Amino acid sequence: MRPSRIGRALIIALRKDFIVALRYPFELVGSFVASILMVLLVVLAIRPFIPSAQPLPPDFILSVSWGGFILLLSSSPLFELSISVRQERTDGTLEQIFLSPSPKLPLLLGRALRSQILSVLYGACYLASAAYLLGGLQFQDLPQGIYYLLLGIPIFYGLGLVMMAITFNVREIIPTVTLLQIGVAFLSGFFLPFNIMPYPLRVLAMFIPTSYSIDMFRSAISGSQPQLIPSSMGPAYLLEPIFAHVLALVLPLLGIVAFKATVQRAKRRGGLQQG
Amino acid sequence: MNSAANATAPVVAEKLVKTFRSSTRLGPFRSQRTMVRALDGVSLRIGRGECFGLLGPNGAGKTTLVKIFTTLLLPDSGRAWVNGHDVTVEPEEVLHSIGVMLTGERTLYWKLTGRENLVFFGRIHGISEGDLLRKIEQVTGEFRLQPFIDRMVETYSSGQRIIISFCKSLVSDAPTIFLDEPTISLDPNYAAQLRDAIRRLTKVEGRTVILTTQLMREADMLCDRIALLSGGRIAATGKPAELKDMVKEERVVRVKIDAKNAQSSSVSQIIGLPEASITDAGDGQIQLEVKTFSVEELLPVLLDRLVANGFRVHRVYVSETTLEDVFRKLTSGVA
Amino acid sequence: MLRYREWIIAAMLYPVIFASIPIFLGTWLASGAEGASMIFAKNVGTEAYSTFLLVGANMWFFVMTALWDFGLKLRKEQASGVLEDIYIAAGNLTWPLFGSGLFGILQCMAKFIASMAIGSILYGTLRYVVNPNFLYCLGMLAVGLVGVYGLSFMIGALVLRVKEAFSLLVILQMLFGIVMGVFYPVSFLPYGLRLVSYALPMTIALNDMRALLLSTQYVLDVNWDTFVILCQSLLYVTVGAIALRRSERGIRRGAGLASL
Repeated sequence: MRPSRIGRALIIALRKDFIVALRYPFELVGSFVASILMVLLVVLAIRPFIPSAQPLPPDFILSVSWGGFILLLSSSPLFELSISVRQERTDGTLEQIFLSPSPKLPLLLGRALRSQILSVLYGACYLASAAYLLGGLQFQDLPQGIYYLLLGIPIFYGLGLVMMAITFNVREIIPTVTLLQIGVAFLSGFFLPFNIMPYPLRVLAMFIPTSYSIDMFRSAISGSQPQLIPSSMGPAYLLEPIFAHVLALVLPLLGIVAFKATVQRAKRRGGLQQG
Repeated sequence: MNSAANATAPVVAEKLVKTFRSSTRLGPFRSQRTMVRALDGVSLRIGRGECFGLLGPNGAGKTTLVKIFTTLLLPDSGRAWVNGHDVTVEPEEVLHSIGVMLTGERTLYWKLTGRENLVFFGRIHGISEGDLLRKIEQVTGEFRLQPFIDRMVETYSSGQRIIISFCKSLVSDAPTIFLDEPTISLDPNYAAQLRDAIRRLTKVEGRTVILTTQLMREADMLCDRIALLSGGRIAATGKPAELKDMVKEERVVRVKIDAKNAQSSSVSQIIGLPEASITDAGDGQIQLEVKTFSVEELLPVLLDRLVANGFRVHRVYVSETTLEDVFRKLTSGVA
Repeated sequence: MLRYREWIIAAMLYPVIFASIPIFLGTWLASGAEGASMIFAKNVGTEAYSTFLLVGANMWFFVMTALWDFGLKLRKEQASGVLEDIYIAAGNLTWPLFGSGLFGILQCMAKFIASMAIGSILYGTLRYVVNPNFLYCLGMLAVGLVGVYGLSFMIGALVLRVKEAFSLLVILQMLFGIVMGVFYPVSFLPYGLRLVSYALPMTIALNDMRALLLSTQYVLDVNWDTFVILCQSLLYVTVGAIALRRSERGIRRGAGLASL
C-alpha cells in the first residue's frame, strides 16, 4: 500500500468530515462551552477537600489541569473512533466506503482525526480555563512533555482501533465505549499520579498501554521521576521510556491487525451493515 | 471452469455457498441459534455487454450474491471472479473495475449535498478531478439533477436519494455495474430515464450490468438473460422468452369479428371449437374467446376458418405468459 | 431492557467511577483518608465523603440518562422515522413517554441500590447505607426523579426543534452537574445560582437523600422538603407535557415529525 494512496485517502476523508462538522456550528461552539464547564465542575468537586484559605499544591494543579487536557485529547481515538465507525455502519455508508478501492482505514479515521484536531482546540480552552481558575498553569520541561504526548498519539490510536474491534458487534456501543474510555483515563493516571493510586490499581495500570507515555509526560511536565513502575521492578526512568517507544511502534500495528481481522470476520458472518 | 476462461468473462460464480447464523427468540431469557443458507451452490456466468437480471422472492439470496461479487461478503465455499479477478484474493482489483448501487436510501452522507457525495465517492474511487467534474456535469444534465444536486441529502425525497445513488455508480465509468433494485421508490419518469440509461450502458457503451429487481416487467424489458433464484439456488436461467417457454401456462385468445347477422351456434360450428365462448361485443361485433396451451397452432387455424367463411376480423388479442407467471410457478412453495 | 445488558452494567459502574475521581483527588489533596474525612466534615458536615459523593454521582447519572434517553432517543427516532410510527400508533408522544418515564424511575431505583452497594463495599462505607433510612432515601429518589423526567420532557421538546441535540445535551449535563451540587453542597454556590439550583427538582431530592443517610442538613425539614419536591415534580411534568405537545404540533405544522 503506497503512502501516497494512504495520504490521499486521509485528506479526502478529512475534507469530507470537516465539511460535515461545519454544518453543525452549534456543536463546534458548544464543545468549547462544555470544556469550560468541565473545568468548573472539577474545581468545585475538590472544593470540599480544601481547608479554608489554603492554596492548592502545584503538583495538584498540574494534575488537574493537564489531566483534563489529556482526557479531551484522548477522546478522539478512545471514543470517537468506535462511535464513528458504528455510525457509518448504521448509516449504510460503511459499505459504500468498502466498495471503493481506496485504503479503508484512512477513510474511517477521517472523522476521528477531524475531532482530534478540534479537541486540541478544546483542550487548549480547558487549559486556559484551568489556569484562570486554579491560579496559573504549571509545567517544567514542556518540550519533552509534548514529545511524550505526541509519542502517545499512535498508542492511543492503536488502542482505539483495538477497542473498535472489540465493540464492533456490541449492541449498545455508547455505554461500552464510555466505560472503556473512562477506565483507561482513570487507570492511565490522567488525573491521578501513580504514586497516590492504591497498589492494586497501579499494578492494573501497568497493563494499560497508554500509562507509560502519560507517566513520562507527567514526569517531564512536573520535573519529577516516573512513578508507574515500582522501584522494586527496576529503574522506572530507564524502563518507562523504552516501553513507551516500543508501544508507540507495536500498538498501531496491533490496532491495524485487529481492524482487518474484524472486517474479515464481519464479511464472513453477515456483512458490514448494522444488523 | 478454468482460470483462463474466468479471465475473460465479466462475472463468474462457481458453486457459491453462504450461510448466516442468526438467533430466534424463544422467551425473555432464551434464544435458539439458527442457520440460514442464503446461497446453496450457485454457479453462473455473465457475458460482456449483457444486462443480466437476478430475480427471486425475498430472502432468495440475490443481495447476498451481489455482495459476494462486490467483495462485501466472503463466501463459505466456492469461488467468484469479477472482470477476471478473484473476489476473495484480489478484492482491490475487483473494486477498481466495478460500479455499485446498493438498495436503500441510506447510502449517502445526509449532511453533504448530492454533488459533494458524488465528489467524495468519485475521489475515493480514484477518479481524477477533471474526469470527475465532467462526469458529474454529464449525469446532472442527463437526469436533470440541477434543482436539488446542491441541496443537502437530508432534504431529498426517497426518489432523489436513489437517483443520486445510481449516479454514484456511474461516475467511475467502470466496465461492470451492479444495481440492486435501482428503480424502487422512483416515479415513472425517473424510472423510465433510469431504464434508458441502463439500456445505453449495455447496448451502446458495451458495459455489463447486473440488475436485481422485484419488478418482472422491468426485468422483461431490460434483461438479456435472467437467473431466477429461489431458496439460495438457481431455479432457472435463460433469456426472458426461454423462461416463459419453460412455463406452460394456458393462454387466452380473443378475436373480434363482424356479426354479419350470424348466430352464436353457427359461428361455433364454423370455427369447430365447442369450448370457445362467444359473446356480443356491441357495435355489430362478436367476440370469440378460447383458452389454449398452444397459440401457435390454434390461431392460424381459427383465423383461416373465419376468413374462409367471410367473417371480417377486427381485432386479435393474445395474452402473454409473463415473467411473473414464471416467477410464481418456479418459486411457489419455497419459504 | 433485558437486551441492553451494557446499559445495566454501565448504570451500576458509572456512578462509582464518577465518584472515584473526586474521592481520589480529595484524598490526595488532604494527604490521606483521615485528613480527607476531617476536612470534609468541617466543610460539609459529614465525614462520609465517599457516600456523599456516591449519592451525588448516582443522581447525576440518572439525570444524564433521563436527558439522553428522551433527548437523543427522540432525535434518533426522528431520524430513523420511528417517531412517526409511534405517533401514528399512540396519537401523540406524551403517553408513550409517560410510560417510558415510569419504567425509567423503577429502573433507576434498582440501579441505585446496586451502585450504592458496589461503591460502599469498595470504599468500606456500608454502614451508612445498610440502615432503615435507606428506604426513605429510595422514596426521596423516586419523588425527585418524577420531576427529573418532567424536566427531560421539556428538553425533549427542545431537542425535537433543535437539530444539534448532542452538544446541547452535553452542556446541559455539565450545567446540571454544577448546579445540582453533585460533588458538593449547594451552599457552596453563590446566592443567585443557589436560587436556580433549588428550583430544580433533583437538587432538594439529592440534598435530602444525603441528609437521610448522613445526617447532614435538610433544606427546611424532611416534610416541607418532600412537599416542595412533589409540587416541583407536578409542575415540571405538566409543563414538560405541554411543551412536548406544543413542539409536536409545531413540527406537524412545519416539516413533519420525520424532518431532521
